[in-house]
Amino acid sequence: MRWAAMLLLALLMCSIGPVRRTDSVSAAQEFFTDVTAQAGIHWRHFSGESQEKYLIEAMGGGVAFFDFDRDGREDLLFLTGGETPKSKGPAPPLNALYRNTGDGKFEDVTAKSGIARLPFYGMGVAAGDFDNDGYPDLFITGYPSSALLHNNRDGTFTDISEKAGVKNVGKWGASAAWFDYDRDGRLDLFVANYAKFSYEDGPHCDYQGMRTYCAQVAYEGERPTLYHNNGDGTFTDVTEQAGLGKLIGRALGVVAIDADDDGWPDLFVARDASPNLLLVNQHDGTFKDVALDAEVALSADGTARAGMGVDAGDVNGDGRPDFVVTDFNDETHALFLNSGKSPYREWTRESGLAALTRSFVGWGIHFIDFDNDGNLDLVLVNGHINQVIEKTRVDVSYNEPPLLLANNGKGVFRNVREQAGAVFRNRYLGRGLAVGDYDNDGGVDVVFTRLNEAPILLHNNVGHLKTWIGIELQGTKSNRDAIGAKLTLRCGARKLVRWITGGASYLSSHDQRVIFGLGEAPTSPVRLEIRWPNGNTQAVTRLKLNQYQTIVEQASGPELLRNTTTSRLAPWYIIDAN
Amino acid sequence: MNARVLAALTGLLCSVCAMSGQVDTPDIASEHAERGVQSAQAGDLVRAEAELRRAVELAPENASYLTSLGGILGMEQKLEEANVYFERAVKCDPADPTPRRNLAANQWRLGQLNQAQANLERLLRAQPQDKVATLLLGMVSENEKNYARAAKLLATVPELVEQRPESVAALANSYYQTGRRERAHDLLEGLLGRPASSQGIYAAAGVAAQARDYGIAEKLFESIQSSYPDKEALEYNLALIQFRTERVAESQKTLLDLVNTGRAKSAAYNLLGWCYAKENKPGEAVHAIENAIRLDPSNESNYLDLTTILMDNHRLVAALEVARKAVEAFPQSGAAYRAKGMVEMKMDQFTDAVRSYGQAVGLEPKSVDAKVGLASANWGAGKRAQAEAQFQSLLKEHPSDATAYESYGSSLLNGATDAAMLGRAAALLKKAVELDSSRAEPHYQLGILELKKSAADVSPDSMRQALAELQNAVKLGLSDSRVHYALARVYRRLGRENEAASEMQLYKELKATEENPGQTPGGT
Repeated sequence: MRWAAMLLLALLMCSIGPVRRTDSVSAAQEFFTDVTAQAGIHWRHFSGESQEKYLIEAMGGGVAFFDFDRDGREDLLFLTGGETPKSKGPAPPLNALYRNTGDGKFEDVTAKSGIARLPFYGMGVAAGDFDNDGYPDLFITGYPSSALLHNNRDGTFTDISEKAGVKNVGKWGASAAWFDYDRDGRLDLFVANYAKFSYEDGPHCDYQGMRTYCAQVAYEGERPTLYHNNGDGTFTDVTEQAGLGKLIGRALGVVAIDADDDGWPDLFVARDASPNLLLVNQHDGTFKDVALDAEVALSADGTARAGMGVDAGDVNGDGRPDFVVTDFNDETHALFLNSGKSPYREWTRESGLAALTRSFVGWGIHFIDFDNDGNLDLVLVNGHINQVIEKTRVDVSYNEPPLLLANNGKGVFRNVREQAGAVFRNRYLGRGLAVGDYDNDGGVDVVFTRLNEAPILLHNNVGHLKTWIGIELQGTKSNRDAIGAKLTLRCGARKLVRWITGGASYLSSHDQRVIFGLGEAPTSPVRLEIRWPNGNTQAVTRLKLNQYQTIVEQASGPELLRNTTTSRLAPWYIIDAN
Repeated sequence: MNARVLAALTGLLCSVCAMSGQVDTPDIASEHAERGVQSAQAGDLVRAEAELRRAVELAPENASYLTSLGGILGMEQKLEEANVYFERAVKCDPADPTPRRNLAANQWRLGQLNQAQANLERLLRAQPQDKVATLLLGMVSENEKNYARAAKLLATVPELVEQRPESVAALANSYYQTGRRERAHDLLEGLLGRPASSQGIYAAAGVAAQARDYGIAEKLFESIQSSYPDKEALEYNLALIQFRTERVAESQKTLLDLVNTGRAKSAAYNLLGWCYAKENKPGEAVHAIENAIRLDPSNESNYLDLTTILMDNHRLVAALEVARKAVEAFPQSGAAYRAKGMVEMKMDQFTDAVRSYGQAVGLEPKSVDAKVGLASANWGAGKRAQAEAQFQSLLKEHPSDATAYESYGSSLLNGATDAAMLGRAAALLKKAVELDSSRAEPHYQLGILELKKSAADVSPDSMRQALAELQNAVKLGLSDSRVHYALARVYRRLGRENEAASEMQLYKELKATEENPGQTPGGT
């Protein structure tokens, strides 16, 4: 079938251009539409809020886009908080697993899944195929323990935490990240632990006689946990050996990415009133925190900000991963530009983020090229923690709006709330946020959780209007999810670099496929270079526009390329790689 | 100053007056006057007063009797009445210097400095060599804070000055105030080993302590340890000097010895609290100042100090509680409301802080601190327009006050979301430095500003400027972790890696101490 392949290759040459879609969005149409109800999502988060004001009540919960049944459609998992000694729900609070039925709807399959109830207060989730069997497993964080749920490939999950040795006992786990720090082809696990916490003897705070949540500094920080995947279904806690045992602090968010471009995955850990960490992989199973020297640990006056969520991506097109961190009001969410050498440049004011986020307490955040113009935009959710904040400030509210910030390609953002959709003009107690293309149309959709409320699923109405290329990587020597891979797409003079990251955002897990937005029809050939997590490189040229394709890792020789899911509009190509 | 000096001086003058009085002979008035003077010399002031009153009754126009009676009344602290007799004496015999000299001395004691000065100047115009008048005018000038004149006058009568430690103290103070520190020091040193009243030495030591010439102050205090009657005050002052000279452990020991005698008063407990605070023992510090409050609940500064110590140790809830008690106990105190506002600002309770500072401004309409606090609180509460208007009006009202410029500039800098705000912040902070170059904070802020400005484009010039500002801040006493973090960043940008590393290490050590006040730098 070489002729067929060549024909396809010719068709895919940028000079020919893609098949243009016939539909369009009217000028008045919003970028995102709240489709929660029509998608059939009715679950609500339960925090167990009580008069005791346990801090944990204000911090959850997580959400994941992941394809648990490998049918090519991103499903959804929502994490509830739970009951506390001072608060029982009217019904037992449940997590929720929704299967994507492919028609814009989701089916609640929680009951069968074995995920509904877990023996701890739930916080966050990280989906990852730790045993490389092709099906994503789940690590769910919480207090006073966490759980590893093995995907049984039949819609059910089994809690194997005990046997696997990853219960994270006694700790308040927040975000977690799967990544292969020793490049042995198996996903290891980093858990961002928040603080030492107890229902029995916590601090008490009030404001004018009203009980309030205490500030985070009232709680002693915790060290993170690093679990090494032994490859036999068990893990070893290597926190101390990895040099992380002394990094006590209130960690909330984590993203795993190769920050220094040496081919080994590093970690950025967002911490709450503790200095952020930039853990550089030393290639020998240890990490070195360089955040202070890199100037990403603190604000300009040497104070630790209230880091919550974090993500990494190339905001200015220089091919290096930059970091964005959500913080508390007045601190402003921070953007750190990676120039390839230390220190990073704080770009918060210049990017517009300072002005755009000054009044907000931020949580989940993710880079997202929502309009597929090739520039990484930002979506993030906010929501205050202090229920009496409006008594002390006139410019800060308890409920806060999510933000959709459009990037001009140079790392300068503007708020597009007027076109973004009604959700972006309302106020919520946003917490977790995940991104994924649940309808495979090339437009990245968004879901976020709200404290004690139903989540909100936002359909992207505009991404598919531009040209895009969707990539799913499948590791063979590397971990199967290819977490840690670097993808460089070249088209003429333009170069777009993306990474498959571990973790990211806050308490949440994301569609691991990569979408390259190309904007208008490209006029030059498109070439993709992949650096796999184990360091191998691979080049791919036969890429199809406006659809997804799976690229399987090969040690050498021609790439294996096949499409997996299709855009609703693009033709279904069948390629014989032989 | 120095009521004791005056008493002695008045006594002296009275004696002089009595000895040289013009007594009409032979009459009964003269006999009464004679007996009065003799009684005074024998220390029986009551009888002296009665005898002289009788003499004045019999001879109401006799300037000498009138002067003597005034002198006795002055010695009995009946100053107002004494003034009446001295004035009558002056009227009776305007040409006699003695009644006028006594009147001037009495006016000085009454605090009627202008009148005293006029009379003394008149005496000196008539008789420039009048040493007593010179001495008195020197003392009056010192009281009027005309230190240059005081020093000049007192220095011309060294033999009179040396006789009285109080005068020595006045001359020393005048020297300190006019920048002649060594002369002051030498003068006070001359008191050591010389027989003199312990009260006078105590006063002289106080002058040295106030001038921060702690070495001589301490020696003077120590020289009267066996003779000074108020042991508690003396020990407290010694402890205060030890504290001020960074001998905190010694100070603490002195105070604990005092506590163990059961003689410690509120001020001693207060100082003990500060000793503990310096030694990073916040629990003991709080306990000591609570004792100070218990012993003297009417002393507002105890509440304010406790608020400060609690705030410094991040015990904000407790600090707010104390500040609330302070405003309850001292509802008319602007300082109490300012302290409350400060804690509320620290706790991000900005609208409450607006109310507290609003009260403070009402109580202290001229207080720049209260107005700066109010504007800053409004800024924090998100009422930026109102805050800016208040800052602007502050600058108009107090164009020479660096505090207002510094606070306004810092607020703009910390909230800067664009280059224009940075520019405005820079102008205000530079003005603050121009008005008062001894303030460390605006230098630090200007250093940070350069770092912020150069985020996009690091230029060596701007970094050199930042370095100069930050080094200035350190020289001027700023020693918290922030400045060393900023210095590390600047050195790194200038390629001075070793200095950057050492500043970063310092930052880490200081930060650890700031976050855990019970821990000393280096973890020892």
